[in-house]
Amino acid sequence: MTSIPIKRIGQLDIRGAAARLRLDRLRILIGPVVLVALWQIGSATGLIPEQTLAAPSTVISAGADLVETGRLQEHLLVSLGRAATGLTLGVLIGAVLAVVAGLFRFGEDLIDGPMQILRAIPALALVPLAIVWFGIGEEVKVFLVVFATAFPVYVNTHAAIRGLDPRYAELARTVELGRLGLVRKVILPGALPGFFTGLRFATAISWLVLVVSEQINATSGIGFLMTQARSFAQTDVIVVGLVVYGLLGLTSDRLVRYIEGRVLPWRRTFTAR
Amino acid sequence: MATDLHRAVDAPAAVAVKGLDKSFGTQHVLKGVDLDIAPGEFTALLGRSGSGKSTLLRVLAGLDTDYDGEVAVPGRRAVAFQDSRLLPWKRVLDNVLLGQKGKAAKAKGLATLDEVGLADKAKAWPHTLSGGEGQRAALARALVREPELLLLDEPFGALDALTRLKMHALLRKLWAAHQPSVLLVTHDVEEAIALADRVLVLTEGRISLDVRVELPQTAPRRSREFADLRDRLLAELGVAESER
Ligand SMILES: Nc1ncnc2c1ncn2[C@@H]1O[C@H](COP(=O)(O)OP(=O)(O)O)[C@@H](O)[C@H]1O
Ligand SMILES: [Mg+2]
Repeated sequence: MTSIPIKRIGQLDIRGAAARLRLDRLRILIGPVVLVALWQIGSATGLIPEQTLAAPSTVISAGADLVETGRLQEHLLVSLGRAATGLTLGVLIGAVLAVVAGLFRFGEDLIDGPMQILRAIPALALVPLAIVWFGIGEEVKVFLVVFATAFPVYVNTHAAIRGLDPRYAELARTVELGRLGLVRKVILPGALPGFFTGLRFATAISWLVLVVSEQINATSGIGFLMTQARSFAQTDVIVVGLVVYGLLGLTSDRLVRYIEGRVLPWRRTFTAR
Repeated sequence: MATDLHRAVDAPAAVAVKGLDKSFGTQHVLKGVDLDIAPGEFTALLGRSGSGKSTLLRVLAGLDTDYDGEVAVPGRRAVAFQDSRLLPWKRVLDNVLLGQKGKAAKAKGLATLDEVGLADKAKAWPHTLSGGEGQRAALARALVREPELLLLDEPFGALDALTRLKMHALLRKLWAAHQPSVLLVTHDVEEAIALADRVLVLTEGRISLDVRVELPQTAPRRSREFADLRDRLLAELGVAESER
């Protein structure tokens, strides 16, 4: 450890610090850029055969092709629709069950036990049963997403309600809030951070489940696009699919974080100026 | 709020406690406490840690109804604790208005915040407040209820010495303006003498000492009477002379 002379600290200026921060952000790109460059060189020299992994340049042109013909958008829309429907239903079910189990004794007894048992089952293990129940239509994919996303929302929301500081409930009594006021002004808002933690998990899981279920039996969706490419050994299209899934995961997580920041302004450490 | 034992009464006494007994399992905490507090009286309750001060306050607040004996308190009560207990997800004004109903509530809440010197923090989030500001907000939340009985459980215990002195002055001012009966639980002997008109000591489950505070008008904290009373109370609390 080296000590910084006091004078230097005094001279630290904000603008310099901001510029350094911008540079730091760019620096995290160095690794990926080097990796892609190596990959391109490997492909160009024949070190990485085309049938193993397409070159980055081929991937880009394949992606451009898919966009131009509209196929990418078409399948992306289908996947998005499935994820959105499944996620909405799953989150709703998880949240409602958590609130009922968290607020009522009978709810706790009735709901929590089964939920704790069911959540031990990986959603994808349900694929055979789901196919028996729903055939191979849209329902299977949506069902799997619903099943997989309800649990993280349930578990985190329920834990947040249970773990609420009992001193707040005591306070509610001293100001005579009443049972309804306690629920509306103390318990539900207090459990919202837990709900959002669950929602973030659920969003990530929804893609995971969709990736797999779309590769098992589908005639549309990004997963289908990739499966189809596999039978023609089009590694470039497969990589395009991977990139799209990655972007979807990143974007949806950003979106949930953004909503979270909007809904829970009181959690922000620094107030915006 | 009104139960048989915990019934609301009018004058003469704001608080009338007779033979209050309270146990936690086998631990007998309050052993027949008798206590009357007159309307508008400012009383401080001293006692060693674990002597049952908070237990007594919680019974008076109606937070604990599992006791033996007779307790009569006014219907309009308010409580403030050592932690400000502001809901982090509500802005300061909404915290103050917690449990308040009607259209006039907001104006009243703002006026009360102004009274405690927090008018400019009405829209602030609780986590942005300092310790002293948090306690001011908690006082506003209590006062907006126009309590006949104000119960304070070590409200300044977590504040630094300077802030505490400011809060003392504020509390005296608010008390003079609103005239509620006050029961201030504290472990700080000097705080008790400086603020209250009457000081009680809780020892082994009973009120073991009940004294009026009579200090000269000028420089009361540096008066002879202050020092004498302080010594007497410390002795009652079991602090040896060499430790004072
Ligand atoms: N909810 C409770 N359950 C069991 N014991 C308690 C409870 N509340 C307080 N006590 C016990 O009662 C005694 C008095 O506590 P308290 O009134 O908080 O003391 P003080 O406020 O004077 O420090 C302590 O010994 C404490 O351990
Ligand atoms: Mg206490």
